[in-house]
Amino acid sequence: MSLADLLLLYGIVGVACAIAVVLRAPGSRTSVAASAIMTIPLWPVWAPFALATPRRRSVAAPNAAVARIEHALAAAVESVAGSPIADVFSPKVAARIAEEVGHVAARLDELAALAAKSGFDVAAARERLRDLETRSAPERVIATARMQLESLVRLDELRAADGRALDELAELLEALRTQLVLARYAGSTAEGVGALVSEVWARLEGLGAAFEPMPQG
Amino acid sequence: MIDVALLNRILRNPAEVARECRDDVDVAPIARNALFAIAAGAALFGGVVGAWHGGPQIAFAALKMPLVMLGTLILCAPAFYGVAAAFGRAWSFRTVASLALVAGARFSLVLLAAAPALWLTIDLGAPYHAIKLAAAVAYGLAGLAALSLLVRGLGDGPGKHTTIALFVSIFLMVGGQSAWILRPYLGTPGQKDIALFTNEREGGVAVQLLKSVRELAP
Repeated sequence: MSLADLLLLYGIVGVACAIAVVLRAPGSRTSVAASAIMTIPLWPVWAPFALATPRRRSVAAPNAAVARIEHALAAAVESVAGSPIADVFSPKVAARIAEEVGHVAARLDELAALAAKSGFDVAAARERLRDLETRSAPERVIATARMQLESLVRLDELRAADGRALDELAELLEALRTQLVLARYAGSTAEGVGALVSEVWARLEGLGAAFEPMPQG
Repeated sequence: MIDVALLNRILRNPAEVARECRDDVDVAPIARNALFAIAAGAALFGGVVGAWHGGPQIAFAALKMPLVMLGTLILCAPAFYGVAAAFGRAWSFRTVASLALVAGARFSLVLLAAAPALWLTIDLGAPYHAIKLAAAVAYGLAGLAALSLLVRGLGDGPGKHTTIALFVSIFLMVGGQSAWILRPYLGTPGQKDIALFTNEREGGVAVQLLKSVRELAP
């Protein structure tokens, strides 16, 4: 087989891959066309990406933070149980915190599941807007696409911010647990503990407020 | 659309990009930008190398340099996949290809960074063999930059050093031969006719580099 034969074979496979890209690849017409053109000469290294179903970056699951929070709560309750400062952080308080965190985590899970569905992809929305702008689509169509993108970005930011807030809450509760142990064994006052408990409630309210539905009417 | 932030991360935070390749999540944009960086960086570096001779050689070298880079990666990717799998890294082809492309992108970006210095050397009238060695040094630096990304990408585990050694050997053999087939890039001193390809038998890459060292040696 000569070099020319090899190149011809390479080109045929490239064209076949490009056709497959056109038939299968998601995205706007412009991006699919660009991807198909790129596939012809570069199919050995580009086709695996162009033909693959995109795997989205998984949204940081709140489960890890929730597990940390639950662990810290249990440890905090245990550390003061049977001591004079047991009332500062009772099992009832811990249960209420756990309940609130559970609500927030469930809503974060719902948002994550929603984001994984078609129509909630920020990258696809951004690409669509770019495509519309390139094609000089009517202004109102572009405005709608822009609004869609902005809403999705906002949702994404909200989810990320609350994921971080759950992490911070977990750290705060771990600090609270240590403070409680210190208060019990060093015989220090429960003032510092009280401030930390207030801070925990403030954080929880902040988290809950972000997810409260808008008032009707 | 070119993601400049991603290209910046490839240079400044290779470990993070390598991890994303290994995780095989959202790798299509990484691969697309890496391919662009390889083509653009190599073309510009090729153009600068060709500037020593001037004229059509600039365009020829700018065209051939990306061909060498991309051709080498295309030929090496299946071998990289096989070697990685054989030495305990049973990754998907996409993971291996994305790592190879990102390493190639880092290689080309370093070449791009070295291009102004090489251009200045040419402009200051450095002799042919000095330019040839300077270009080889730029390639060496770019290779080290790409290798550091690859080392991070392969992660810890058994067979890591063997895998790296085999990757480097395969890349050097295939890349060296591809570059040799598509020469000249710099041109030959005193040569009037500029050809896209040459049929002259001049030994191999190693022979030519050794010759340049001997020429410059006192």
